[in-house]
Amino acid sequence: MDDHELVSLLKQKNQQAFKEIVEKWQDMVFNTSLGIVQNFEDAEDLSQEVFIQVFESISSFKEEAKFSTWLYRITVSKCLDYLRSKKSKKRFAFLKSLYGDDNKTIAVPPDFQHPGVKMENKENAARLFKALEQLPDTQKVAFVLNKIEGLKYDEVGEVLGLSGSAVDGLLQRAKKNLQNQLKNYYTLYKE
Amino acid sequence: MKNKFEKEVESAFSGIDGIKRAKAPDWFYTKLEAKMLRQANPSKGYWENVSAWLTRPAVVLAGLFLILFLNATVLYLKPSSTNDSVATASEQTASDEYKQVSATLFDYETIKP
Repeated sequence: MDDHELVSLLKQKNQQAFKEIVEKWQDMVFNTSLGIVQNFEDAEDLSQEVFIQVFESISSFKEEAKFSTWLYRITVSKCLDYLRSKKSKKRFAFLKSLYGDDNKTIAVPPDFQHPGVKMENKENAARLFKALEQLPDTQKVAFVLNKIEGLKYDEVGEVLGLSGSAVDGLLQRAKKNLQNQLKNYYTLYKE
Repeated sequence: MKNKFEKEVESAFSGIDGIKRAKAPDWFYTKLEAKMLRQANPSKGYWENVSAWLTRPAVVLAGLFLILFLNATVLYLKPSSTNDSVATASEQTASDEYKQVSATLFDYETIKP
């Protein structure tokens, strides 16, 4: 069954079509979420939220874009919303600690290890993902879609609503910022 | 020294060369279905929360102490006249039983002509 047929059936709330859609796209949604939020449990939870939204708002999908593009857009928007709320919670926790309300020690999470990275590259990839966390949202998303999900520039552009050349510029800035982050790290810890 | 850092940066970038797509966890669809069912029946979740709260040890102990406290208060606040009448009544009952028992024993032991 092709995407168009599956979408038509899903618009009639067909459970079997929904199951087929989930099984077809779950790795794509999970991998994108994992690249952005860098945490397995959060990525799984967000992927579930993405498919729940697909089920609930499929009637609003006009099929002007590809189904996969629509799915990427939902995934990216869910992940960015999550990161924003996490950031504001962190800020609140910091303020609480300043006023002495919270005596708990802040646990530093271990370096994120992407399961698709080759064994010999684990350490280097972990360093890169650490630097990726510091990038502005759009640059981070463009980098994940291009380098982790393997989308071409024009496909990344469709997801983000940008032209191919704008994506090119965005990725160059992302790379420059990552290089600066990594240089700072190596200057601080390896000198 | 600068070259060394640049090499490190380059090797960090090469860390994701040939990266493979991460697979969704096992039973993804089953877990998703369960989540959707939970969201569709929020009332069940509410009652589950209430029963979980009621069975918490702190709540159970607090309830037990409240019952004990109310019992103690009722006993303490009971009018003393009631205590007297109760005591008198129980003494009377005991005395009646004694008489009854004695009478019975007497009856059994009395040889009738």
